[in-house]
Amino acid sequence: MKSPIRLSEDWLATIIGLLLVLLIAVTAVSIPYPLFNLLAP
Amino acid sequence: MTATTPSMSTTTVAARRNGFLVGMIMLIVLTLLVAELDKWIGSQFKANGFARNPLEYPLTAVIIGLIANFGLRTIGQYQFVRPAIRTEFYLKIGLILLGARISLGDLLKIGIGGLLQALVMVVSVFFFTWWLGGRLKLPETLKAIMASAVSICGVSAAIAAAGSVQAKKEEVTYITALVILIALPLMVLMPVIADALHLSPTVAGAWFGGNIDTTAAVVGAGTIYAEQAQSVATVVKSAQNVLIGFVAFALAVYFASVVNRDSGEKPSPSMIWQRFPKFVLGFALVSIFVTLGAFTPAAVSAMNNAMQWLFTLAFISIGLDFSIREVRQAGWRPLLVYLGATVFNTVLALIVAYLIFGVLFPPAV
Repeated sequence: MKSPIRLSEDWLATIIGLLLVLLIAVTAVSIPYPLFNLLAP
Repeated sequence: MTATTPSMSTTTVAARRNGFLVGMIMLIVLTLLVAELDKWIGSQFKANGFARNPLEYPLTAVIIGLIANFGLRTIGQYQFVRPAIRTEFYLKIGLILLGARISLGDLLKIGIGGLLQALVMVVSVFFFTWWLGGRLKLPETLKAIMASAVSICGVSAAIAAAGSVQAKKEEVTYITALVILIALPLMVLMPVIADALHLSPTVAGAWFGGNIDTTAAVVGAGTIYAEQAQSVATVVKSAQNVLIGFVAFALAVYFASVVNRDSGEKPSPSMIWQRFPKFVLGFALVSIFVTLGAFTPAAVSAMNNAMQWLFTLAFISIGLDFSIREVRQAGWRPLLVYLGATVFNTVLALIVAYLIFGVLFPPAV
């Protein structure tokens, strides 16, 4: 029986990274750093 | 031999999944905390007349990670959340996003210098560590994974080399602990020394990339020093990472033909591609797109934010990954070899980085 396709962590990180780039390029969605700015005056 | 029953393996998978989910939530909360703290620390320094925050977010994140590590071990929950602690995974995704900040021309220029530096460093540091390990009578397998870790890129090189030489699991765990133990002080001290030596961000970045073993700490040191240093350090380290496959293959050939001559194994050159760090391709692809003008300035800025979040996750994970117990168990001889190799690496990397990026390829980013 053939084993199911298993991606290495390296490939997985590469694919997720590129998908994230694509998502941001298309939507320009941005998460500010820091998100809440609770402590800074 | 113990057989694993289906119900047991289902339980293990479920426990790992739950551990990953809980660990991920914990990491996200810690990341939000680091971002808030970093902004607050920065504002305090600014209010007291400092031009910049000397405690940049990599350091804040590592400290928070170390505190969480201690807390989790104290309450006995460390192993439960362990599946979510994936330093290299978060880092690699962040590095692909970093590609949006480097044009292809700069990437090629730094990359060629980085590859040249990597060849000199990997060959010199590998054989120095191998020689020193031999003098202090370390086992062949430990010598091989330590030389790979110090000369190439820490944990991932140690794992790749361990696969080639069939090292014991404890040896890899020990090297992993040692890599983090040495990399953390270097991440903080090297930017201070670079500042005292008035190194340009390019030379400093190349020095960090050529010396610090783990990629996360390289990025951390570069971030602490300057934005340009972060980019150069990353490209130089990536050039070094590319050599993993070649070293893993050479080690496999050496162990099959010299150390374990009777095993009859024949390593395949396909190992070079198997061990090749694929994220480097993603990084280069994003750099090509940004050079072609495929992204708007708003998108590049958003990618920069996402990168910072992912790097914070990775830096917290370094603190969480650390374990002093393994270092204590291995004894003083491997520690001595590692320290000796690190001193050699630090001095040689400074000279080579200066010659290549200060004389041959002067600052350009």
